[in-house]
Parts: sequence; structure tokens; C-alpha cells
Amino acid sequence: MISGRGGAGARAGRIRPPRRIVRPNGPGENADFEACWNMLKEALRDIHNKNCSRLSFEELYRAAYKIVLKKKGEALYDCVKEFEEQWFAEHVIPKIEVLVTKSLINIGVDRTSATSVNERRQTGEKFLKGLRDTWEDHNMSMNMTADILMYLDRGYTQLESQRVPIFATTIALFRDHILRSCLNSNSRAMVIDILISVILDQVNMEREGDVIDRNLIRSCSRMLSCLYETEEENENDKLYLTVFEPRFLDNSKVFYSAECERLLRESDAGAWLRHTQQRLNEEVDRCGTTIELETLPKVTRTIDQELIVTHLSEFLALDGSGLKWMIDNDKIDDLSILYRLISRVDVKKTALRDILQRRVVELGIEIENVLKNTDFSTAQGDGEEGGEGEKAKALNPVAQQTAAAIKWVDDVLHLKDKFDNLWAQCFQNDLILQSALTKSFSDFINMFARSSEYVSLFIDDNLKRGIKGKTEAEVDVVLEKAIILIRYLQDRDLFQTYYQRHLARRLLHGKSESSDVEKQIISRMKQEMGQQFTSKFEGMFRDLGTSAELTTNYRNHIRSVGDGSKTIDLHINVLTTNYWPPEVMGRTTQIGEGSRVTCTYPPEVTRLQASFEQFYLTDRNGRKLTWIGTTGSADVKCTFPAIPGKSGLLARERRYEINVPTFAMVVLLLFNDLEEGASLSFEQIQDKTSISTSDLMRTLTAIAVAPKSRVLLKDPLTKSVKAKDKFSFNAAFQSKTIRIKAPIINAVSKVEDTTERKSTEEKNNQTRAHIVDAAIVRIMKSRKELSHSQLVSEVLAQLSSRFRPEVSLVKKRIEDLIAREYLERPDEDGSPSLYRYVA
Amino acid sequence: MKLDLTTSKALQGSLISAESGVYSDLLIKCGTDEYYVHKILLCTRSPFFAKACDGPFKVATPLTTACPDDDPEAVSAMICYLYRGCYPRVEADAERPQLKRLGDTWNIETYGEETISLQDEYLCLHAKVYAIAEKYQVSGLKEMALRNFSFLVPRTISPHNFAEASEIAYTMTIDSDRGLRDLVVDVLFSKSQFLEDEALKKLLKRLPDLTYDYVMYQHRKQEEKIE
Repeated sequence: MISGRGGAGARAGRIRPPRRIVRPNGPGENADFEACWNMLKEALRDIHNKNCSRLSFEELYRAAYKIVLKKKGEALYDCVKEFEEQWFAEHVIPKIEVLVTKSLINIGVDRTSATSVNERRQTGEKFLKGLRDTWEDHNMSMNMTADILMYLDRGYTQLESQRVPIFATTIALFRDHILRSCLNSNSRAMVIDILISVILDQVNMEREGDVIDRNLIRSCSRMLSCLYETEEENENDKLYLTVFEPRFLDNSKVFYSAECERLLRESDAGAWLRHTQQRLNEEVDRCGTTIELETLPKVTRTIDQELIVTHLSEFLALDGSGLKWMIDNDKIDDLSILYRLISRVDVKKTALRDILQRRVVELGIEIENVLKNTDFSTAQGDGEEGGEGEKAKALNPVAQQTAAAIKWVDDVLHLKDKFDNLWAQCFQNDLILQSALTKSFSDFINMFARSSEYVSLFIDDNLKRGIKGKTEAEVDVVLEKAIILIRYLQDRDLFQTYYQRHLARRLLHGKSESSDVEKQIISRMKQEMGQQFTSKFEGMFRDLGTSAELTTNYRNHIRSVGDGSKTIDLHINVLTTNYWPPEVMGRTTQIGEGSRVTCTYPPEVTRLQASFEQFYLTDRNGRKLTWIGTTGSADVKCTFPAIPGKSGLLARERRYEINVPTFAMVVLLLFNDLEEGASLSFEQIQDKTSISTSDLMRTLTAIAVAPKSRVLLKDPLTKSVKAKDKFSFNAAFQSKTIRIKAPIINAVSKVEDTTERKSTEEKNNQTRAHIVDAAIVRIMKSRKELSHSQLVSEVLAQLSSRFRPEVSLVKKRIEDLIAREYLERPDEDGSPSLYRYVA
Repeated sequence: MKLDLTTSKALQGSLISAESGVYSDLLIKCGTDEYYVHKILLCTRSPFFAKACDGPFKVATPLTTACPDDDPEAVSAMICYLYRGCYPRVEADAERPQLKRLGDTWNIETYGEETISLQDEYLCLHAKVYAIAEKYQVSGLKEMALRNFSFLVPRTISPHNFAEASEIAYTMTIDSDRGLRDLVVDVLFSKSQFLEDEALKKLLKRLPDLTYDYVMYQHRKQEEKIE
């Protein structure tokens, strides 16, 4: 049989030649089918009866295979289906029918019926259990059936487009013959409706605090997940999704909506927050253990809507527990929950943000009001004491204003700390809320007219006294606070003016506690606000530096050229006009008496001035020096004669070194030439010195009124200097210390009164006008043509880092620039609000 | 990724020693043949064996599964394939070179010294293996059998062998499984002299499906020619 090339027999032993096949089957195919089907039928019955352990899988598989191979797949498919339907009708449906009782049907219809919760639960559980058991039997049987009919699916079903796998067909029997049928003649409800009603009833029981059999319910929900609307078994057509879930969500909606109403009626916001939070957790739990997890996002959305969104604003507005109350009482926990809940429903957190903002502004205004009230009471007290001694008592309101400024700053910072704290602890450093809070702070700070001045005063006070004895870290905290506040200020140019004024005073009168700290704060401002903002302050420091050098050089120069005669030791500060505030530079004309720097200096001083000017101008050509008497001071040695007939100090001759303002020195020198006991009237002094009235008043106050430095006697002995008063040398002056400092009574007071502030603002507005002009011209030069609104908004944008100009101001400046022919309005149709740059 | 030689040898070695029956946990009986095999190899490659061994059904002790209806040649080839990656079983005393690598298949090159007439004898075997691979859904085996069959069938010189193989193709596989059937019709058309053979004449009478397929094929060819 095997024919090979030589030696075939030997080779044949190596590879066994195949045996002949036995023809597998003869005639009688139908008989074969019957035999096989009978075997399978028996097997199916055994499977239903849970006798499957005596079945041989191979045999059954082979039987099915054989049928399919013989092209009887269709017949087998139909037989199986028919068998299962019959089995179902005979053995399964009756079991369920028994369970569908009248009381069960009532669960779905009416929850408030007379039956007790317990009864209802038991009836429901009995039904669910029966249904679950039947389902599990059916499911298992059908799985095994599908196993033994594996080849039917492979060799027949898959090739027939109108057929679905045998499992899908048989498992669907459960849906069609149980879930979708009405098994009680008294009711028209389908079993699936009853099932869902019962499940929902159980879920509601759990929501109300009962314990239910979660596993049982999960089994039922699993069942609904395993069954589909059609035999196609499309994932989106799971009965769970199509029938159960919508009803579950509806039910949840009704439940939570009612619950929310009740909470609103009976509870406070805190309870509501906690309750909602708990409900959310419960639903997470429920979806994980009782129904399907895929429902979770949907049911939490229902809670979001019903428990959070619907009555959010009402809860937030509740008196004595709402958001305002939580903020005021620092309810960290409540606010944290609130933030989490609101984040769920609104990424912008509008409700929370709005109320927070409103509360910040309210508290800010409250600070201002408290301040006003405090001011009012102290001012009254002041008025009583006042009267004659205005000047002497003038210090008091100043100190009070400083205190008010510090209190204001402290309160504001306190408020900021509070909200920062809430922000970090409750609001998870939310960026939207941060910018909202910043805006509100900036709003109320800028609503307060004196904010710029107060911030500057706060820094002034700290640099003069506050930082004494503090560690570097503590100083740093103070600086940081100051910078925070500056950041909020909108009218930075105004702040710049105040700061310049305060800084000038600190520097010229040597009142600054630490020049290191001064420089630090300026470098911080530079970081925040830019070079331009601090250039004047830096210039002031530079001036003082060069002046110190100049003083030394001049002193050396005098020593080398001097003739050894007595000289006046000169300490000079050369101030560059632009860096220093105009008040210091004597550029003010506000009082209307001409320049305040005028003064007729005594000859020795004049000589000194001439000598210095000569020295100064040798190196620097074309500069002009102006002597400002108002800001300087002089050390004067005074000798007071022994007064006969007196004991103690007065019996001896007394020498004192008095530090007085420059003008006071000029005045005192007048008395050197005067006979003993003679006096000069106010007018006489003014004639000889030509110091302006107000300056002279201040000067005389320092040396004739202030108790510790009263080297002149005034007649009459009142506390204020008036015209026609007479002054004489106070020969009986005595002091415990050798060095005495006369107080500086300065026009540039620390805190402005109303008129002064008005003038500061006016000046500021003038400066602003120029800046606005410059900005407009700059913009128009580059853009050539621009509409009115565009121009205004560009100007606002360009200047935003410095101040916010009134739109009316911008308008006025534009008009002005048109008048000065920088800009023109082109007379073209349809463009009434267009401007063009005139080159 | 190809296995390197050492690894391939090691794997092959362990499979070959397993084939001797050590650690086996399943006995397959087929006629008089008995195979001690490993569930891990069978069940992972055939859903039939997986269900048979793992399902809720009766499992005889000792673990035995019988294949009474199956052709012993085909069963032997299937088990050989599962352990060696090829079939048919080459006797251990064979002097001819062993398969070099896992996955080298039975082909004319390896067994090239055999005359084509010897290989011809295997045509039926490939058809049977194809059928059993389909029946038990053994992954990979069906494809290998089809490859072998399609290599041999155009070269066959024996109408008798061809007739036997055709009969297997038309009785042991289902209608819609065209793998073997198309090849059979194609070859029958090109080797129409086979129709002279008595065996084929009988076959055509017995298998209306084959006759139908052949007529339709002829018809299609004529249509093509006219075009």
C-alpha cells in the first residue's frame, strides 16, 4: 500500500502510516438526531433538577456536535427553546405566582398604607428572596445548558444572522415570562414593577435608618443588570439601566427633595451641611454594596440638585447659622463641608463667593465705622481741654490719628488673617475664591478715603517706634504686613506722596529707628511696584549719603583754610528738589505768604552760607542752592547768669546746650544784643527776621511756650503765640540736663486735617493730569487713530499699576489735548468718537 | 520575538518529557489508545477540555475522558501537537533529524526525503486533524492542518487518497466551514482526470454537497472565460 523509493518498508516504521478511516455513519440520520436530542433533553432536565453531577460533559457536547454536523442545528435550537419554555411554564412561573400577593402589590401602590414598616419589609424580603432564588437557579441552568450546547452556537447560531446565542434566548425567558408578565389576576402591575417598588421601598427604609438585607437587593439588581431589553444584549439596554435606574433616581429625587424641605423648615445650616455630606457618603456606600456602582454619579447628581442647589441660597442666608454666621464664628468644619458641597455643584462657587465678598466689604466698612466713632469721642474730649492751648495740645490729635491709623491697619490685617485662614483651611486654597477675596479687600480698602495715608502712617510709626527691640524675623513680619496692604491700594501715587512726606521727616529729623529696615522696605516696594515707584525714595537716601560726605569735606576744607578763629560747625543736607516733598522744599504756596524759606539770617550765618556756597560750587557748576530754614536745626550754647538772692541752681551761672530749629536760632540771636530785661514784640521780631507769620508762631512756640525749653518769656503768659505778644530773655531758665532739645513744631503734621487733605488731593490730581496727558499722547502716537472708548480703556490699563483715574478726568484731558492740538477729531461721517494723533 | 535556541530546546525538552506522562492529571482514552496528559496544556488551549474538566459536570475518577467517536489517528496527532507543536508523531527511534525548533512544522522540506506518494498518505490525516481541531476548538491546530492540507492536496497523485480526504472534508466539518471544501473543489476541477476514477464517481454520488459545489465552481469558471 505504501510505495516509496526503495526501502520503503524500513522507513514506514519511522512514521506510522495513517490508518484507514472507518466510515463514521451510515443511514438513519433522523434516528441519530432523536437519540441525541433525547439524551440532551434528559440532560437539560437533570440540570434543572440539579442532578448535573451525573452528566458527562463530553457525551453531551459530542451529541450537540453531531447534531450540528448533520445540519440539524436549527432543529436543535428550536427544540431547546421549546423545552425551556415548557419547563419554565410548568416549574418556574407557579413558584413566583405564589409570591405575588396582594399585600406585596400594595407596597408599590401606597407606602402609607396601614401595614407597618416591619410587615412591609418582611413581605418584600420574602418576595425578593423567592425571585432571587428562582433567578439564580435559572441563570445557573442556562449557563450549563449553554456549555453543553457550545458547538451549537459555534456551528450554527453564529452563522445565522437572525439567531442570538442560545443563552441569550433562554435567559430572556425569565424576563419575558416572569418580569414582564402580570402574575396576579387582581392587579395589572408587571412583576418587574413590583420588584422595583419593593427594592425602592427597602432602600427608603434604609435611608430612614432601618437595617435591610443589602446582599439580597444587590442580587436582584445584578439580575436586572444581566437581563437586557432585547436578545441583542446591547450594553446600554440592560434592564437595570432602562427600567430600574430611572425609577431609582426619580424616587431619590422625591425623597431628597422632601428631606431638604424638612431640613429647611426644622434645622439650621450646619445640620443641613452635615446631613447632606452624610447622605452623599451613604449613596456611595449604597452604590457599592446594594445596587450598581454605575448609578453613583447619577444619584449623587440628584443629591447635588435636590439637597444642595435647590435651597442653597436659603440655607446660606439663614440667620444665626447661615454662611455669615459661619464666617463670623470661624466655623472651620462647617465651611469646609460647605466648600466641598458647593464645589460639587458649581465650579465657580458663585453663591459662596458672593456672600464672602459681601461679608469682607461689610466687615471692612465696620472697621471704618468703629474708627470713626472712636475718633469722634476723643475729639470731643479734646475740645473741652482745648481753647487757649491749641498748639500745646495739638500733639494729642496727631497721636490719636496715628493710633487710629495703626488700629485701622491692625484691624484690616486681622480681617485678612481671618479670611486667609478660612481660605487655607476650608476652601482648599481655591484660586477663584482667592481672587474674589483679594478684590473685596481691595474694594473696601480703596473705599476708605484715608487708606493710603493710614498705610503710610502705619509704616512711619513702625519705623519710628514699633520695631524697637524686635528681632529680624518680627520686623520681617511687620514689613510683610505693610507690603500686603500696599498691594491692595489702588491710588498708589497718593500713597507715594504720603510716604515721601513721612520718609522725609524721618530722615531729616533723624527719627528713623533703623536705616537698614528703611532700605529693606523700599527694596520690597521696588519689587512690588517697580523702579519708578521708589526712585524718589532712593534719591532721598542718596542725597543724605552725599551730604554726609560733603559735610566732612567742607569741615576739612575750613580747617585747612581757617585762621583758627571760632567757627560755626555746619552740618549740611543738600536735597535734590525733585526727590523731596514740596512742603519740605518750601515750594508750597498754600498759605499765601510767599515762599516760606525767606529769612534774614544774622551776619555770622550769612558768612557761613557764603563760604559753603563758594566751596560747593567750585566743584559743581551751575547749581543753585536754596537755604531752607524750616527743616534745619541748630545747637546753641546759652549762658544764663546767676540770679542773686536765689539758692540752688539759680544761684550759679548755668550753661546749656539747646538744640533749636534754625529759625529759633535766628530769633535767639536777636536777644544777644538786647539789654537785660528788654523785650521784643512779635512784630519787631518779624521785622528783623522776615520769617513768615505762621513759621514764626511755630518757632516762638518752641522756645517760649514749650515748658522744657522756655528760654524766652512771653507776655501775656498764654499757651499760644499771637501777634503783639512780647518776648524777653528768660534769665531764670533752668533745666536738669545740659543738653536740651526744643520740640519741632512743624507745619507738616503727620496727619492731615480736612483742608490739608483736600489740598493734597488737589495736588495729586494735578500730577495725575500730567501723567494722564503723557499716557494719552504715548498711546495716540503709536496707534495714530483710536475710538473714544478704546482710548479710555487703554489709558486705564496703562495706568492701573499706579492709580485709577476717573473717566471724567481722562475725558477732560482729551479735550485739553485737542485744544492744545495734540489730537484732533476727524470730521468724517459715522465716526463721531474717533481721535487722531496730530504729528 | 523569536526564542533563542537554548530556551527553545529547554522548553521543548520539558514538553517532550511531559509527553511521557509524568505529573499527568488526566487520562484520555480513545479506542485502545490511552494518553496521560496534562490539564494545563489541554484546558488552556481548548474550551472543550476546559469545560469538561472544570465545569459542574461529572468528572470520572481517575480523571478520564473518552473519545469513543474520534479517529485514533486524529486524537494522537492532536495530543502530539499540543506537546510538540507539530504532528504526526515521529517514532523515537527515528534517525532522521528531530525538529530543530518549537513550532517548525511538518512540511515537505523536513520530510523531503519521503516520496510524495508517502506524503500523499497523510492527506487524510490532515483532513481529520482539521476536523478534530474544529470540534474541540484547539487553538492553532486547525490552521496548521489547513496549511499542510493545502500544500499537499494540489500535489496529490492518488485519486483514492484524494477521494478519502474529500469525504472527510464533506462529512466531518460543517457546511459553512469552507477551509477544506474550497481546496477540494479547486483541485478536483484542475485534476479532472480524477473524475475517471471509480472512487470519486462513487463519492460524488454519495455527497450531493460536493457535487453541487463542483457544478457551481465549473459554472463560475465558464462565466469567467466568457467574460
